[in-house]
Amino acid sequence: MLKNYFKVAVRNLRRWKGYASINVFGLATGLACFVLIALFVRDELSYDRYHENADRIYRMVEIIEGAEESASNPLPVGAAVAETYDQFVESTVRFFNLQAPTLAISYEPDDGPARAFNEPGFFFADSSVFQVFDFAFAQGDPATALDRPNTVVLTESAAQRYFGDTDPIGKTLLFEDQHPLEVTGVLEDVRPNSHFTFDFLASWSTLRSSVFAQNTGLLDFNWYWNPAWTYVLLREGVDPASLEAQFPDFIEQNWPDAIKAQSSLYLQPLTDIHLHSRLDFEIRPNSDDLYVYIFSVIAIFVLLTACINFMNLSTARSMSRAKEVGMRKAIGAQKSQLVGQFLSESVLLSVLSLLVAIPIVWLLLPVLNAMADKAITLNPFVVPWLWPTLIVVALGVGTLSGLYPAFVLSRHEPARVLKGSGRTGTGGGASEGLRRMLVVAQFGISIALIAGTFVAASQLDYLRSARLGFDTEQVVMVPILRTPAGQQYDAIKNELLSHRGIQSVTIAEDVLGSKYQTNTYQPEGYTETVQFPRMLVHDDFAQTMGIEMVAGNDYQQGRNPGPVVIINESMVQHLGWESPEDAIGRSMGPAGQNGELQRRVIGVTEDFHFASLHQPVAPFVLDRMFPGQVGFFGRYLAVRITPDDVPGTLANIESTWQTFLPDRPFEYLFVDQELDALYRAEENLSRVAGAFSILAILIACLGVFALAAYAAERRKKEIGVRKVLGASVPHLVALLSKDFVRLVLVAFLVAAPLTYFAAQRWLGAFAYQVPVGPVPFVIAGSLALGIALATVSFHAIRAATADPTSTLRAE
Amino acid sequence: MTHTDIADRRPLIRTEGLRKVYTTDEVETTALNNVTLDIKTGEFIAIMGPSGCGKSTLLNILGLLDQPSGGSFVFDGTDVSGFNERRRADLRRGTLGFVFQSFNLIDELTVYENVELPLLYLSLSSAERKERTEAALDRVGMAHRRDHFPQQLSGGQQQRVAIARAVVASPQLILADEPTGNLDSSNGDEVMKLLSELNEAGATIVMVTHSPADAEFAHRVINLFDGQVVSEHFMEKEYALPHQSGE
Repeated sequence: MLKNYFKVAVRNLRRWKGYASINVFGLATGLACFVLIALFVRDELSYDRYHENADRIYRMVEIIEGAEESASNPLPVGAAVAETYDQFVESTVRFFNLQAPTLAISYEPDDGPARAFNEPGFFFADSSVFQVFDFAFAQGDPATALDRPNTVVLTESAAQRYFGDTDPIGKTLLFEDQHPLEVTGVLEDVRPNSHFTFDFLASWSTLRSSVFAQNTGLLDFNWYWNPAWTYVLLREGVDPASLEAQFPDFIEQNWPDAIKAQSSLYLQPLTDIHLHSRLDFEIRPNSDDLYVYIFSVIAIFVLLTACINFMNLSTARSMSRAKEVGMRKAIGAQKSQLVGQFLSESVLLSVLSLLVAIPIVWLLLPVLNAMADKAITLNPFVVPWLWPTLIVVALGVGTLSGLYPAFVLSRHEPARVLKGSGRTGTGGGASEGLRRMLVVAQFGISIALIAGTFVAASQLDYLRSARLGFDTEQVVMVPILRTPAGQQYDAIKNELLSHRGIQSVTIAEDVLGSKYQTNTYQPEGYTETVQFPRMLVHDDFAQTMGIEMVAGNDYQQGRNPGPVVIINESMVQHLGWESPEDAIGRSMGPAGQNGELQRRVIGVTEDFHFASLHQPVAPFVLDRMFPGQVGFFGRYLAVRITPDDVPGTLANIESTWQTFLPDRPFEYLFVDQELDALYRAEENLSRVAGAFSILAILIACLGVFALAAYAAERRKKEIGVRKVLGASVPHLVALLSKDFVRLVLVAFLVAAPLTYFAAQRWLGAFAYQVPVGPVPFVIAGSLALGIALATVSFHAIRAATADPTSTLRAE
Repeated sequence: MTHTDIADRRPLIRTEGLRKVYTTDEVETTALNNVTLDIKTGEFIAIMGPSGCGKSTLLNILGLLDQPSGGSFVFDGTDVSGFNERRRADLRRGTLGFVFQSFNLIDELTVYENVELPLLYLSLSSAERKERTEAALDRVGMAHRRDHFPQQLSGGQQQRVAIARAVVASPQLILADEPTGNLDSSNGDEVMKLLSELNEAGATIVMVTHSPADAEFAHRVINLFDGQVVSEHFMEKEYALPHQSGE
């Protein structure tokens, strides 16, 4: 019997090729979208779960009330927690990169030229790192690899970069031109589904023996500076809350008095980091679970749209199967048998669609990977769940979308359909009504997706072009942390300024607008210290960054000696000072030993966005960097250049660099590009959502195309009669299009408010939001209407221009 | 054959006070009104009457495709008037064969597959299906076209295939709804001859027709008007009632 069903199904497909291919193609596209998004979502959810102990690993987070919620901790914390709380803690590991965006590594082979790179993925780590995490070794022994000072393990791709095909083990890399690091192990590249990846892990003991040899106190006694990402592996069965309960004591014993009262610590599950963590000083920007939800909803919507097509086309074509159903019933088929037949038909079709969907997925996956910055694979060894899931989904989709048509089709009564020509009245009012509802749903989904995409895109646009309060264009940042640049800064600055294209030079602690630190202040009139966000900067900072001064002046060479600060307008308001002018000369620092004013305010800037637009502007301090601090806090040389001949100016900066720092690789970045990276998650979202919303409307249009064809076919006789009676072609086109137009309008009325509320919720994640006006909805609505009209008119015009005598005679 | 001969036969269908009322949008249409019939095994009945007199409704009820609104309907000793669709379908399977004016062959199936279909629903073994399907095709002279699709056949040929499908499961009753209505006279004649051969071989046939010529083939003609039996008469012609097995 199944064979008979199969035969009928296949021959039906062959006979109604147009409908069948629309069905299969639509469903395949829907399935492909669904699979791609499922892969994406699954990848997002898989972060860091490959570590065997993932459920026992936590990251320590330090909160300093009112100042920061930091992903990193003071350097001594990791070791102290392991020692003090042995009963809770199996192991801890710290990662530390000297807070440098990149670090210089070089290798000088016995033969051939030296290889030197600025490495963004270099960390010092405790030797316990391989007890806590599962990073696979290609060569070397995890138990001893980082035991000794001046050892390093590196990933295969890093090894390739420095050593080519020669064996890296035992070779020596040079860290910052001076500290030798012996390669003791080679790791497989860190999986991309990790909240951070690295290329080098150097032994923690190297810090003590080499890098901080002159200042080991930093490692043991500085509980204020918090640059180390600290992970804790709890013992089996230990409740994280029981360790967290110890932290107040721990802080009481160790933290400096100035921040003791405001400080607290908590444990963040490793597997929560990628989707839920938006702390200060993350190693890498994280994703957001909101996007996982949004994409999941899109996936289900697109698949639903495709299923609806399937239902609509199947029920619309129900008449053509009426005779068969009637006949099968007449010879004794039960309704359940017919339902079974049509269900197996739709399952067959969805399996067929799956076969078409797989190559689509295969083709589009690299595109998705590029758009979303991922390395997702279809390899069944990597994603063993994928293929069985696909089959289940195909069966599920076949059943879901076949169920309703199966009941409609098997409902035909033989007594009615077998008589005469096999035509029955109007073709089932109930299924007609449902079909309309489904079309409304499809267009509603499409309109929502399009409007949503427009809102997301305009928000992104807004973020990019928002007046940040400083001028991000034409500012070149050159990483200089842990180079000798600071010692020769004045000479370098003078040399740079001698070039025509260079307007201004300064040093900054971070890229303004992306990152900041905090510091302790005690403004005039305060009896206690407070933490405020700050950035350490050098002379001419406001000028270089294009920040407007509203009172006082920028830091300038030789002017305002002594401890001075520049604050922003928000700070003036926050402190209740009358005006920017009033703030000048007041004190921000704790009073000196003799009660004299410290850190006098010499300038007030306009407010500017010192962090991403996810956060509102707050009080901020531009602290002046003392010459002694440059080597330690000066991360970037910031150079404002003129827009003309940028390549020439960059070449001049590089040649200046080579003159003063011949041994260090030169690197630079543009501030505006760096700031774009802050919104990468949003950008990925809008691109991916845009792509899928186009697909959704495509699928919906396929469906409408077929439905319009069906409607035109069914009303052939009516059209013929109307034509004979003198109806014009435009009149007939309007007649046939009216129905669909009405459906799109209803869809718009349903979708627009829902989308509006969803968009408002999404925008709530930003401190600064583009206002949601009617424009995205007008665009989405007219787009949907336009496409629907174009689709319907094709058939309407064809039907309306057909020769009426032929259709009437056929009756 | 005479009136009394028939009275001796085993009754296959007996209806009493059969009614069928269609209710649509506040309009009630009485399609059948108090129809009482008595049909014996082996009979060949023609039902005649003008359009809209209730012929097809009666045929659909007799064929268990439709349910009466009132009255009793005993089929082969069982009152089936209250049967739900599931039980009616069970009873149709293998017991009834249908021949329609518009043939109603399934376009996606070949001649052979169309004829085989009732046997599939009877869950017979493939060997038995093959044997019976081939026999039925032979009987209607369509064996040479077994792999053709319905669209490739003439109307007469299609109706012969439909008849093969109607008899392949050896039903107790064949219901024919204007079997020659879509055929020219020579093809129509052939179909009628085929039906009467089947009748002679033992099948009970109830046929709805407009055509007096077709009615000539029947033993008995029942005339309907406005949903009521207005007259019935035996044809003049002598027919030998076929031998009945099991009696």
